[in-house]
Amino acid sequence: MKHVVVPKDSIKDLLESLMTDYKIVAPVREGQTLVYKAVNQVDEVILNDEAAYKSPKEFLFPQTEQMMVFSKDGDIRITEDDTKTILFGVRSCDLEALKIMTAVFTQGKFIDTYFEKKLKNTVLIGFGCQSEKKGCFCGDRGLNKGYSEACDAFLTDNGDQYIVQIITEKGELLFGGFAQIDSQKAVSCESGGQALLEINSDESTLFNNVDWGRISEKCMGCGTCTYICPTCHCFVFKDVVEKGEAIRYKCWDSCMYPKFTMHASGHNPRASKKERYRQRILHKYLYVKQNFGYTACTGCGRCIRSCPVGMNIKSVVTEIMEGLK
Amino acid sequence: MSFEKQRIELIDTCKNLLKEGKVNLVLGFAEGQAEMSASPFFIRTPEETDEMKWDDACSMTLAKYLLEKKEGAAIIAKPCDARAIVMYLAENQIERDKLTIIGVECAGMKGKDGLAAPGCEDCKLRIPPVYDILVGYGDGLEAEAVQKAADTMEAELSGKLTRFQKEMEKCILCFSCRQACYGCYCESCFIDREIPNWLPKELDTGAKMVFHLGRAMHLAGRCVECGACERVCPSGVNIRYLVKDLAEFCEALYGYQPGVNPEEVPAMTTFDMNDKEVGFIGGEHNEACCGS
Repeated sequence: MKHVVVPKDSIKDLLESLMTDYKIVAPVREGQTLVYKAVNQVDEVILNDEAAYKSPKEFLFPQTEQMMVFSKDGDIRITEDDTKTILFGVRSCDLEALKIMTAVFTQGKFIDTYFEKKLKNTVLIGFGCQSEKKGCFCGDRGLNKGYSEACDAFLTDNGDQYIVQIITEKGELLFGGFAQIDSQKAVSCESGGQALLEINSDESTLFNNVDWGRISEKCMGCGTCTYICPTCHCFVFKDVVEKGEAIRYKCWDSCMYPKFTMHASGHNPRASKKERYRQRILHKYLYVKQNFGYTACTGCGRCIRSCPVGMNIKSVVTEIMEGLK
Repeated sequence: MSFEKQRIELIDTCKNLLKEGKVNLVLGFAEGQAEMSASPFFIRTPEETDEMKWDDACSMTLAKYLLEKKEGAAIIAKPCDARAIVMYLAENQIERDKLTIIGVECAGMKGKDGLAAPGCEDCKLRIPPVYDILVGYGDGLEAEAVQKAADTMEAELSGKLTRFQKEMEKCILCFSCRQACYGCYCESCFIDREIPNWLPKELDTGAKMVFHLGRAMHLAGRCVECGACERVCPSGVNIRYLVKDLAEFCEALYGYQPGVNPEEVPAMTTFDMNDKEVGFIGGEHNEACCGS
């Protein structure tokens, strides 16, 4: 692996020069919060040790995405988006999450070509965390907060410079011109260890031997957790008639909403928050693992930090496993 | 008295209620984890009451859980929670005789930043408007002169629009404000409806405005100013100023204040030929409410 050194003053010049060809998405300040946004001026970019309150998943999996337009004469126009994007300053947890989402959308029988294309047009630049924030538990999920290989290049803060690990050709294109340093002297690039926090049980045991009613009692069903989560990827199609044409949108959906599984008949298999909360936990810790081999929780801690009633996925999973022992 | 003494008295009260079997559940607070300094606590045994928390971090609103726990529950109610209970009683959502209200004299809650929590900045209520048992804070508790955080609208229409749009840009339409809101308990929210479809699917500022304006209108004369909408918002959107203006408008027009008297008929559920009609197109113009 190749390592280069980028002086901190040069990062903004680099981004500035890339702005003509790419849409640059990076952490910026909005009010008091830090969010990933398309950058207008490079001075807005904030590279410190704070965590953005929501993940940058929306730049590969937008909250609403126009897919196609049907006209009255039977013509169907597929909506094309060729924007080249640089996702800059993405944390290990979010990179791991994009890896999981890539598996969901691009592996197996059905390929989401919209996601696939966006991913192809995106350069992922990782950025290491120095400290664990309140609620973070990426270590328990087997990640290294300071490094991840699930990107094109990874930045590590090193005083007045960044050490950049170049991982792919896309990364080489951006950082290849900077002074190379000896890999031995560079920062550690271990990808983390064994995940300690897992659910190792089967669905029937989990359905019948866990008191989901009590676990979910506090939950208000607000859905904030699913919106800010880096791995939540449920969506719904909506056809909207606008100006004589019908437009098909792919929109985020949330298993926390009562209408999520509502049938046309009026029957709802997940009628109460007990079933809905169980679905959220088991989707993350059981179903994605069964289908794609990953546990779909990266320990980013966002749902813990943003939950208005203090639900804590880490304690819930721990409690479930303790209870089943 | 202080929070600590009040806590001890609360524990004592709740313990007795559970021991004597007068209630099967107490809605209270426990120590929170991670960022949260307090968390809702469903207390079912006398022993559990010892883990109860009560201090100025207990800003969360508990009364919405009463819509699920209809029988035999007791609730620790701050004035804002009690106002919500009054609203639920007035709107026939809960039954008074199946509920035990442990009112607390409220010294005001604080947010993570140590300043007054959303909803508390302006609140002058110290004693809940309705309760069965009152746990006092004691001498020395006076309504402090606090700064007005949720200021009212700008006079100029263009200023109002710019400010509103600026707030809306932050919104991510996760609907957590709706879920936390005491007033939002519709089984089917207008925004979730397909026929007619209220929410444009392209989620721009306009779509966000549709949701927040629709919600605000539904809260006219109903908002009990608990501040939950703002407290739960992950993106820090200030929406209360809008609802607050509507509340003042409603009070000036119909003389109705929500969450004060359960016997009073809510302003928006009654119709009188003599009602002022400034809110309607072609209706009389009332300078007291609308400005010039």
